[in-house]
Amino acid sequence: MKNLISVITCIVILSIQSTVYAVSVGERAPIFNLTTFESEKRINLSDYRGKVILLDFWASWCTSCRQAFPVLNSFHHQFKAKDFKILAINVDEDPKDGKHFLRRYSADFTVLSDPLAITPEKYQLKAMPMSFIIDRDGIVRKVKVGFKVTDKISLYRDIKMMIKE
Amino acid sequence: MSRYLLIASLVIVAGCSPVKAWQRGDLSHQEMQFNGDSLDARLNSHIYFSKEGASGEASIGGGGCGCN
Repeated sequence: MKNLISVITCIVILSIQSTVYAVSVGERAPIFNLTTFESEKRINLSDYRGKVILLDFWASWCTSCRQAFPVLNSFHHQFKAKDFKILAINVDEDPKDGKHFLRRYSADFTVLSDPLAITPEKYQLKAMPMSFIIDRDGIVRKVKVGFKVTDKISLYRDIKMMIKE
Repeated sequence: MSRYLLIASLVIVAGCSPVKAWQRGDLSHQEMQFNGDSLDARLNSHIYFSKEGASGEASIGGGGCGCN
């Protein structure tokens, strides 16, 4: 009986050890330093302190990301003059897949590459795509898991509200 | 005996690790899907739903007319 209890205890401990929680609302957004796809220019999140950031994680194999890109393009054009910046981080292991995707689904906003998946690990993504709206002080204010076309309205409202603050 | 069971359980459970959201690229390939052809699967599902509608296939009621 004692052994059975110890076996069950070990199984429970080992199965919960991998439970980690994504960066949530109110936390400081983890800093990253990544290169862009186009110019291999290094971008640091802290470079955009004072701006509202929509940080979007995407991958070439993610079907919802295809729907998200036109919406992100429209946000980029609507708000680019208002201290707003979109940073989209590609997490494909092979950046060629991301480049191939971008040939089909153009992105007018800044796209970064993270083939080593350091940033998704820092943000502990739960799904793909996943986006974070970060305020001017670098604090995460909204977390969006997944994407549906109807999310455009709520995202628009959140961005507009945060720019006004 | 129970000691071996304990060790075996530890080894088995320690090998379990969830696939993270950003590591699902390989799993999303067509070859990895249960249904090789999604269009074919939808058609089969529709036929099955139409035939079994009266008995509540997929937990949705229906008349079995195949028109929905």
